[in-house]
Amino acid sequence: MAEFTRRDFLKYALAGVGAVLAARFITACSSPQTAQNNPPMPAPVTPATEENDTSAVKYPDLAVVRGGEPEALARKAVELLGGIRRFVKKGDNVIIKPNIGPAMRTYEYAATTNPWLVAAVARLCLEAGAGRVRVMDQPFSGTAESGFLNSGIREEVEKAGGEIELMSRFKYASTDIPLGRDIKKWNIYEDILKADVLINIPIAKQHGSALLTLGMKNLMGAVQAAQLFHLNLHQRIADLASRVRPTLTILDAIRILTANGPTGGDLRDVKKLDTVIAGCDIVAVDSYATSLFGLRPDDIPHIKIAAEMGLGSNDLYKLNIREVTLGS
Amino acid sequence: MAAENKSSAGWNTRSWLNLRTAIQALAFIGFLALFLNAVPLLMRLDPLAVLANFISGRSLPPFAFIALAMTLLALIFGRAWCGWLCPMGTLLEWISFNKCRTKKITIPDGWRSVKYVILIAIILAAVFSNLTLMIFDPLTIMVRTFATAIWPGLDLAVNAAESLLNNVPVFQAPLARFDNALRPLLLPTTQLSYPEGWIFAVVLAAIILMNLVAERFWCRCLCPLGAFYGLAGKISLIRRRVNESCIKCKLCEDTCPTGTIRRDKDCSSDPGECIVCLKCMDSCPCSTSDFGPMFSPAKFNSYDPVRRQLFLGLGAGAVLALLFRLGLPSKQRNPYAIRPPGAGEQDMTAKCIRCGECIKACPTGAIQPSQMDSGPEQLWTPVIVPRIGFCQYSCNACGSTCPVSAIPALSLAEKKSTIIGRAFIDRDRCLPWAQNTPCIVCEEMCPVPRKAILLHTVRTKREDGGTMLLQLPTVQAGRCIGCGLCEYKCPVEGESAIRVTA
Ligand code: SF4
Ligand code: SF4
Repeated sequence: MAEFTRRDFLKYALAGVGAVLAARFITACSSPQTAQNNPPMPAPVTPATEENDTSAVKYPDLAVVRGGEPEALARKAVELLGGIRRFVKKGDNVIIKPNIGPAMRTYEYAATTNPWLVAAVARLCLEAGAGRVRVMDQPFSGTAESGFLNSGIREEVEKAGGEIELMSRFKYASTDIPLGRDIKKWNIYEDILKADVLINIPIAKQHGSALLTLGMKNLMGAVQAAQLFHLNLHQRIADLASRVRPTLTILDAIRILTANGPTGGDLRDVKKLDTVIAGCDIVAVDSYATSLFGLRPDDIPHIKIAAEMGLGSNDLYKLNIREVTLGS
Repeated sequence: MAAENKSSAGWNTRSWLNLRTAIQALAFIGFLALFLNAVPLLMRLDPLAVLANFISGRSLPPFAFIALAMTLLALIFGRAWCGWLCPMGTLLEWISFNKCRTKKITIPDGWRSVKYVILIAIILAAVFSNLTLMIFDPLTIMVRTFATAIWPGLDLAVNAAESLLNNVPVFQAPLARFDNALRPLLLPTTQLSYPEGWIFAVVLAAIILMNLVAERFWCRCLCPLGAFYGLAGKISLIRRRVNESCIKCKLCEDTCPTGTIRRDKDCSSDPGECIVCLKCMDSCPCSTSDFGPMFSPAKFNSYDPVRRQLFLGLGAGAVLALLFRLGLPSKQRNPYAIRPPGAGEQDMTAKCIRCGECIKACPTGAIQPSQMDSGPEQLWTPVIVPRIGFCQYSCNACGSTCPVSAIPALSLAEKKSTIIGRAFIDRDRCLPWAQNTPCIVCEEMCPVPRKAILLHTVRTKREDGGTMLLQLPTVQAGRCIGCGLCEYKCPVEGESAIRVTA
């Protein structure tokens, strides 16, 4: 039996030194820390398109569509806002952020975004020539895999040709929030910040501390340690909305959860409205959505704060709203 | 494994050896596959676990016939399990340190009897409905260590490597693909933590390091499962034979991994020690050594379980069982030892074989091996530690994975209404109650359809002198199932302001 010789020792020692050097090399190759911390803010969507005369076109701020299947609702809403090509260009890297709150509920319980709605939006983006459409969220009471499975979102999105992404721990980066009033820095998922197009598809539901979870609250799925938001929840939701800025928010009010949210689990708390509210102004979408629960925008502190911070409009009287009921 | 002539074309002793190596590798891959998919077959293959569980729990565990079949196989092939299938044995063979052992150490024969003492102690303690000593079973050691140390450790390492590589643009796309396609199959997707995992890592490392003293030291001297199979080996049908043409060249003595071939004893071996690795057959220059049917039982050795070992084992088992009995009647049980859904405290001592399959199965890492704080007899039985992980509302993995039904296999509907504990709010730590700060994360998280956390809204003073509405949480006892999600998510640093007790 051979001994562990000096030669063996040298071999292993060299391998070790090599590994350390390789690691050093990789770190050295990486982009400097500051650049990574501050990916560019998404550019505001301009109302101009090639085929339209820019000066003449005036898109509504909000599109509210009622009475139809999820796919039809989504298509009509996006069409009213100017069509998907206004938002998605050929080859764009699109991320769709639904709300998969609790990992265990099927869509009937209105605790997770409607899978057909998510799939319809993914399909629209692909039709517009998007390079890549990813759907991601991190459910809070179970694993992401079980959330995608139970909600039905994995199945529908994959049928539509989109990808499901299980959010990787290593992709969160400490990010500056320059406009934040309470939080100035938080760990946010890098890909969401870097996407060409971010489409937010929240579901409207009751929530103990946020009162309602709508578009802005849904952005909390992009951060780590979200439970620490609750210490000053409304301000922090608005702060986050100043940094994570979806191109489009399509609010799912096909079924809404009116009590025992955001987890739900009792069909008596679910109301079927067959409605979708869409717009580029996330504050405006949320403001309109309060009416589904018989509330006013000012009843929800984070909507009020966000409007004060100039993130959007909460004045429903001044907004240009197109309401359409399908099939009538 | 009949004798074959070396010169016969095609199939020869070397082929037998290769076959064994291949089966060993396959069996180890099988072990990993069973482990990763939380299929509880491994422990059901373990006749010692099934026998001990049967004696201790006074009822046959499910699928006991598998273990019976293994025992019957042992009556034919002896300790072949150890040389062909056992994942621990395979690991010890792969990391044998054969190159590092420069001078030959002969360990005293008497040490071999320790494994019989452990075996007898396990069985006797089982008679007293105590399975604590199953911690010495090699398969429980393997599963436990893989679940709490190796698997999460690997995850940490991979994650660190990923964070590093992710800085280089070309690696980003493949990394994302890896994380989405392969990680769910091979590694945990949520970060798991087992604060006591290092203990198991140290135990396994110690077992491996014993190889420095002698090859397969664990199998020779300590393994109770090996002892069980060894006893079967004594009367097994197929055993190693040496015929008269032996020239005492001692080549086989040098290759035998369990050191049971002794030149001073006519190069014969003890079938209770022989793991049927066939290496002697291959090393023998005159084809003297082979394996074939033998009908008279093997003769006894000084280290075999005769009176002395029997008494030692019985004594140790009885003393341990009685000691543990004196320990903790269930009334004084540790209130924080929350058991997996449906598992009773009694089942944990008497039925749980300490295998850790449930630990691996739990997707949130909530199930931890309990340490001494629930009493020494509960060592390494499963407890749920909500600050580390919560019991997922729609999951019944632990019950369907437990190989011996120490955790009952509940349907999802049953599991959802099974009360595993109750949450209590500590008003001296709870942010709204104690510090006038809004929070109610617990209410938000509570997964039962009619939330078990109720909110009372009061108007209080704000720091700046104004007033505000503050929501104060309380627990509605009748609705709480004790899943611990609130305790897990409570943002209070350190100890949670809401805690689940059994
Ligand atoms: S039922 Fe609960 S404790 Fe058991 S495995 Fe599932 S999550 Fe873990
Ligand atoms: S309770 Fe867990 S550790 Fe105990 S026997 Fe069952 S699976 Fe193994």
